[in-house]
Amino acid sequence: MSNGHNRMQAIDVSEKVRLLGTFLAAYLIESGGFLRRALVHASSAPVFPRVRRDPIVGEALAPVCCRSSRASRNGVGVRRVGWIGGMVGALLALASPVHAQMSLDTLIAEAAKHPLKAPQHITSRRFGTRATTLLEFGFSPSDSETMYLTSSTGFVFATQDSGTSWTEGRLVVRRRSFFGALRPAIAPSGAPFSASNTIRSFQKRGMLRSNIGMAMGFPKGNDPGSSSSFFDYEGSEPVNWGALQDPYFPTAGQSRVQDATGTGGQSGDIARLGVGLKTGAPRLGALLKKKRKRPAGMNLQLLLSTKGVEPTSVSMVAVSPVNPKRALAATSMGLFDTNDGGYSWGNVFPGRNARERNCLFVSYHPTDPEKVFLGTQQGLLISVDGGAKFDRVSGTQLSSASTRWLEFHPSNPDIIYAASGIGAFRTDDGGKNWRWIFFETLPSQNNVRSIALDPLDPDRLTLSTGDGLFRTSDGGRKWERSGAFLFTSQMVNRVLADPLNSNHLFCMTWRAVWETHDWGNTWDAFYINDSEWFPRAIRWDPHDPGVLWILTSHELLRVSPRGSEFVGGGGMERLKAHLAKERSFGQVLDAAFRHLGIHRGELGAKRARARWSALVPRLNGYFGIFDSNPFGELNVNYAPQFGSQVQVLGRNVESDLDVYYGAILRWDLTHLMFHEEEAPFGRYFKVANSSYFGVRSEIQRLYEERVRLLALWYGDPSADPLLRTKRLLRLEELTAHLDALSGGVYAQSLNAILDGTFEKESRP
Amino acid sequence: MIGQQRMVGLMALLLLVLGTLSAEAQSFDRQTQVKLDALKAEPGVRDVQEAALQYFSVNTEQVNSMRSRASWKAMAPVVEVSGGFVDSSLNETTDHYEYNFLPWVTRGAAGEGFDVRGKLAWNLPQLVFNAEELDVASLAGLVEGLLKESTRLYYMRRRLQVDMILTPPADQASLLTKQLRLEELTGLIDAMTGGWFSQALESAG
Repeated sequence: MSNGHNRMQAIDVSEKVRLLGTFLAAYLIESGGFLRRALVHASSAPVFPRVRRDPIVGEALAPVCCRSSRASRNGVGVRRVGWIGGMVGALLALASPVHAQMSLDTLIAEAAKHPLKAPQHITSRRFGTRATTLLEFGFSPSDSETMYLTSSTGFVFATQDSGTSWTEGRLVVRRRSFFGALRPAIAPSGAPFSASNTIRSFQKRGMLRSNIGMAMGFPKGNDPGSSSSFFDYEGSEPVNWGALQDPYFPTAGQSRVQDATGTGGQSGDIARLGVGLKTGAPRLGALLKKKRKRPAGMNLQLLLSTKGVEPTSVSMVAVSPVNPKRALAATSMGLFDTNDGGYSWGNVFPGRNARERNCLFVSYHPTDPEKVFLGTQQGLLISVDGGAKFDRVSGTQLSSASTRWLEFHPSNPDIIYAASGIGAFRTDDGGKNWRWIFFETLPSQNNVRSIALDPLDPDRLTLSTGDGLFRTSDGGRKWERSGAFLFTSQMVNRVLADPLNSNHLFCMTWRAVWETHDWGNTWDAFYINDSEWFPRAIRWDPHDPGVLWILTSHELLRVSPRGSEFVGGGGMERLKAHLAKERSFGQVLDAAFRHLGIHRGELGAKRARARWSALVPRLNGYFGIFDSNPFGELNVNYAPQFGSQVQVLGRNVESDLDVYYGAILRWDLTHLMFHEEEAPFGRYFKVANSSYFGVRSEIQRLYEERVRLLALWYGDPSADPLLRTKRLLRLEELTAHLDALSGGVYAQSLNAILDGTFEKESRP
Repeated sequence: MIGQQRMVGLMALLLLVLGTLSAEAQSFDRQTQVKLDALKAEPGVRDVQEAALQYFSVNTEQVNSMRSRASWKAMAPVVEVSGGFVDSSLNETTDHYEYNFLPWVTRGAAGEGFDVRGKLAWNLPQLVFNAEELDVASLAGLVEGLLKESTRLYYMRRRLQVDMILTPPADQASLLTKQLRLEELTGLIDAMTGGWFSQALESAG
């Protein structure tokens, strides 16, 4: 810091203005989409290098740190020059790319004087979980191998081997089927769903689209507004199974299935389904009493109105400090628990109203496994009996404030900080009494997302809010921004303290994870996601110091300074030899597209023929058979004296069968000029294109995971038999899946795995 | 010299023993291995995938057949046949009142007839290009979904089986949970294969 400061003073004033302008420009760019991209492409690629990965094993090849020096000098510069100079500089920088480039060059030169940080190595540990948006993860404090992963669709994945294999459980909540009443008004309590939220939920999960024109389309793809829409949902069709759909949430704020509150705060809430049975609750209560069961504490009305298989988003999971198979999951439909390692889940706290039902946070007390803290949309609740019964905290605004995060001080767990929608709170007595320590008038700043505590000093903490980071070193008497303007107006979803280093913090924004080594004076980009996935959570490994875990919406990444498991033993050579025998990714894709009939080249060739079909005529042939047998007569009576008639004319016509036939040829030569199927649009194209993207995504996921697994297989040959068996099983699954999708490209590899030759031959 | 040979022999023996021990450490005991091998008697993943595709009428042959039939359908005409039968009778009487003897004329016509008309229409341009061939491509989404789900279910079940063999549940509650899960996964695969999976398990013993 001091070195940077001195160097800063050595730069003349005009350079300062330009620098400041660049900083502000960078800030503006950071908070605005296209401008940021413009700058990154124009001039700052060396400043913000992305994490580079080896295409084969997914390892980080370069130091993950980015030497972004903007925040450090930013803070000093802003204080010295002030806003006006900064704004002038910003305008200059924006108006003149040359100036911006010059300033950035200076910054790069400045940054280059700092020593490079130690490289970090990233490995993906998400094996075999289904495609769903991941939300959170949690470690078992008592078992280093056990982890839980939560998702937005009710799935909770658990591993007992550090992520090599995952089991799958699903929290299920379903409204009762409709039995009689559409209620125009909101019920004060009871059913948790509203029609509008349910419909929105369906739309988000791709089950219901409003585009009638696509009524016949197949529901592939995950973009609710895309051309792959469909209107009617047929639940028996596998393609419509929610599990197969990859929910698409364009923003973090939309990550929840919107069936949480049912409060009707949004428009269109005109009907509530599945409420009913108000009279059923007393009857069930009486029945329970008769059976000598205790209905105490049960919300019978809710019990009667919920059941089944409706997915719900799982915001947080907390693992018991003493039993790795016991965990609690905070969901938008209450609190669930498992006692069997995530195989089955039961609802232990349905909430007393819709807001309380929406659980945002859950945590065991670090030293007392019977004490559970539950943050809901309507306040903080504490249980002292392991989650069987919850009491709302009293005497504080926290009793009704949306509570998103709790942070226990490592050396004194009775000191707890709470992050809420109305600021931050602190208790020094384990949650009995709370005091308000952070409140801002701006709602976005008041929206505290998480808290990072100094492991040594409980008065030194950093808050992440909807409007950047704030820090205090005196327990909350005085607050200042952390990172100066770097995070201003940006949602910082998480801030994380290093339990071993007071000044070492991480924070997580929309697309990146940032790191500081000086308690927030300077921040470096630690991980920048260049895919459509975005960071969801960051945690330190409680059992492996120095190892950081980053959860994105689709990946679980283990970041370690100690290198990868892929070391020595000739593993890389054997891996390369193995991969050389198999098809490349492109070849597998090509084979799969051809096998499934969605190869763009083949489809394009078919389309090209459309125009020339006009040369072939439509042929209409006709024929007919006609037969008739007419008869006619004419009688005249002109001589009455004779009293008789005279037949003067008779006519009888007989005909044979008449047969006729012919043909008409019709050329629609207008199609020679243009055929509507020639151009790649229209229903067929939409459908095929949607399938194309779906298959491509699936093949890529399978292929990459398989190669990563092969890297583990060859790089870690000494693994114990149990681990090897699990890995082999997963490898078999991935190979079989790829083989089926590609029409047999992996037949040889799969046979080798199934008959055991792969295992024998792959051993060193 | 003899001492050196003896030393080399001892070292070779030592390496052999260590190697044997190492190999033992990297494999399962006989009983476990037998249980693991017994799983191989169950239907394979390819069988399950094929059964699922067949149950939903989208296996490779069925899809290829649809695609092929779509490309050749223009060879068959649209046939339209119509016909009719007519039975007609007309009688007309004309009286001439100008004369007392009232001459009259009667005229009659009758007859029957039938005709049959036919029309055949070949949409021959479809032999060159038929957009329905592209429509068959939409089945790729269904196929992909079925393969994904059937493969995933199969290996979730297999992992659970292996897990129960390698790390048997220590308590009854865990055992019951895992057995239930096994049943659930078997049922799910059954649902995807029209009950074929359970039948195949039974026939496999």
